[in-house]
Amino acid sequence: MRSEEKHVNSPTFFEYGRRRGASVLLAVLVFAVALVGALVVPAERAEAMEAVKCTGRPNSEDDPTVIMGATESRITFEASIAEGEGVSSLTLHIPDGTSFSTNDLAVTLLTGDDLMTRNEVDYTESVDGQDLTLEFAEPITQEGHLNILVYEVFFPTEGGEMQLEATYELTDGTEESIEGIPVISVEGISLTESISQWLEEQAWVQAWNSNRFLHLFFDPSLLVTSFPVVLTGFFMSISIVAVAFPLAIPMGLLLALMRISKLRLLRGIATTYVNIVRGTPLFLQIYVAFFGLPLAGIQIPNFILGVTVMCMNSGAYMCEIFRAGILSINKGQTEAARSLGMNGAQTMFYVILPQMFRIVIPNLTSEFIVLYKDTSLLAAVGIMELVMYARTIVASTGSITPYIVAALFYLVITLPLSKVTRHLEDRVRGHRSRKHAVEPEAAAEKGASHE
Amino acid sequence: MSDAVVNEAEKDAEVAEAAQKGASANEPILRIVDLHKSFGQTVVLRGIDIDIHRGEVVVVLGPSGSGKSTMLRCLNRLEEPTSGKILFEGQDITDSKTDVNDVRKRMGMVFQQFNLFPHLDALHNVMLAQQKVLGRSAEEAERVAREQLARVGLAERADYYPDELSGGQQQRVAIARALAMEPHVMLFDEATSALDPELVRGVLDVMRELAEQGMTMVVVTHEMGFARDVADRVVFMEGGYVVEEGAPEQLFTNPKSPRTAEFLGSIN
Ligand SMILES: Nc1ncnc2c1ncn2[C@@H]1O[C@H](COP(=O)(O)OP(=O)(O)OP(=O)(O)O)[C@@H](O)[C@H]1O
Ligand SMILES: [Mg+2]
Repeated sequence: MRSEEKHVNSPTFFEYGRRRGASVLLAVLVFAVALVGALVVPAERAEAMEAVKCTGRPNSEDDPTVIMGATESRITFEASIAEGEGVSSLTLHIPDGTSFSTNDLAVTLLTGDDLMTRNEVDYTESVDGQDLTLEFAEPITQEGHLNILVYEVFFPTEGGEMQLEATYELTDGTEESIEGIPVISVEGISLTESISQWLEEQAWVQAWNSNRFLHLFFDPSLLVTSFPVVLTGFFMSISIVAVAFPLAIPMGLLLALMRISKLRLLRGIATTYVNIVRGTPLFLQIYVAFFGLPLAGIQIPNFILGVTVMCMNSGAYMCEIFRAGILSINKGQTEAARSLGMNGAQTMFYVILPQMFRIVIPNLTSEFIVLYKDTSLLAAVGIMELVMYARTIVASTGSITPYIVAALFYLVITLPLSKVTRHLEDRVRGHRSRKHAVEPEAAAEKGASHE
Repeated sequence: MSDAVVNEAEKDAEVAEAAQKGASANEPILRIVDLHKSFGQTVVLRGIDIDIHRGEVVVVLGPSGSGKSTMLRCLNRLEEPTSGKILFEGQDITDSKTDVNDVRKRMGMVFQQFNLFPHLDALHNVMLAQQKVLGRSAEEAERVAREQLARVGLAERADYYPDELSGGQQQRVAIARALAMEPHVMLFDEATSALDPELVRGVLDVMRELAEQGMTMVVVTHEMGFARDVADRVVFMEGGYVVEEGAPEQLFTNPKSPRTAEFLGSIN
């Protein structure tokens, strides 16, 4: 413990010593500079130019005060010049990550009491990395504001506080920097926005969009911007099925068991329910639930009601899937189970249903696909699912492209699932993958006839 | 089947069986009294009377459609008899108050089509009813199941699924499944008819062994060799009647009824 403490302490002492050395050195330097400065440069010379303003032009379509990254903007820089100073050049250091051009560069000297007199300034510009330097043909000696507009400015995508730096040179060769330049606040933009903007500028995209059909259905930049929006709807659709489907399974099972029950009442209830649900359009069922229940004074949150309607609808279809599955199982299975003394319920749960589920998995997968697609009908009653989100963008852009994006979100689920379904169907029809090799003997398939 | 092991437990069971047999030697374990069965207009059984004693092996012969299966299925009420009585261990099982599941616990049945549960491996096929019906623990059910699988020569196949087994093996698992319930009577309905000829032997050997161990058996079969060797009594059925019954030597060599003679002649 002791040795450790000592070990910890020693570098601290060392560091302390080093810091003390550094501050002594600093003090000496400051003193030296102050001395030289006092002798050579008159104090007021430091204020030959002062920052007046430094702004970016707002460029957001949504908010007229916002400057966004990766979107074209313009920098306005203005600094005052004191009379008789003779500013011979000015260098603007544009923040790193910001691109700009010297096209349309505008440099104006505003003079007069109200600064309304615009004076052309003769200059030559040069660019070195982020530095934009203006060499004035005649040193500026007039009192006024030097106004500079830099066009085609693209601030960094991620945004941030942009600090411009500026230095100027006087006729006597002294260089000074302008202090107190205000920062420009730039908002970052999302990846998809920047991709979309980039796409919009590409020649091939413009060529592509010149085709009316392609532009209407497959506008590349809209494809990209719709994506995150429609994705929100995708999550909604998925959560609706993710809740409704698992709940529909026990419901369908219960209905199926009622339908094959010996009790006429249970059979009647289940059969009536299934026939009504399967015999009417889901669309109508949604309308009845969403407009009927509120009229009856029953208020249920949209999501819950939507899930309930989907579940109740799917349950009826699943009932028929399960019933067919149960009936497809060889009677011998029931007889074997019953002959061992198992009762009806035990036979159902331990012998029939496990086999039934294996058989109906392909049908259940198909039912899942149907249910997933049918969530789109909920758009009609204002549930913000996939189609609904796509529809809002379609309404604001007039392009069908968002619907195509929505279609992709359906296909992403339905295509792989139908492939799985086909695979499962093959497996149900064929043999389960075997762990053990079968003895080369023909067997059970032989018929009952023995004569 | 020569590798089937007759272990100590089975010998004990045999002794117990014999003791039981002595206690009520004269009381038939199973009495079929004037059994009738029709399916709608089709009359299948027209008054069957058979008494089966403990430890007895009764083979039922008869042409196709004579009602053998129907008769057998009435015994554990897989079919509801139309009229008549079936007395099993003194209890009338046709009585509506009788708990049919309780009766079935004590009566094993083996089907022509095996009817193994395809979603369970051999071991679990044999375990399922033990756990659900007899309420045995998983450990005990597994112990019994392995014992019974060994008894039918399939100890090595416990983790095989039905579709990984040959027909003969499946049928032996089905026998083990019934035996695991420790039934007092075993019913066999053409247990070998769905099998290829070379697989029949194994199943018959198991049945033979079972008979030797004193199991009461009612066997519907077309295996004359088995009937001749193993049966204590042969019943010949035709048209829903028992036409003739007797010891195998007598019935095979000297049938009383010309119908029996004709049937036996057609088989040979
Ligand atoms: N569920 C049923 N409904 C109607 N008729 C039936 C039914 N089961 C059996 N039968 C009829 O009863 C008669 C006897 O059938 P059963 O299966 O008992 O004969 P079997 O002696 O076992 O014949 P096999 O040797 O071919 O198995 C047949 O004519 C058959 O058609
Ligand atoms: Mg039959």
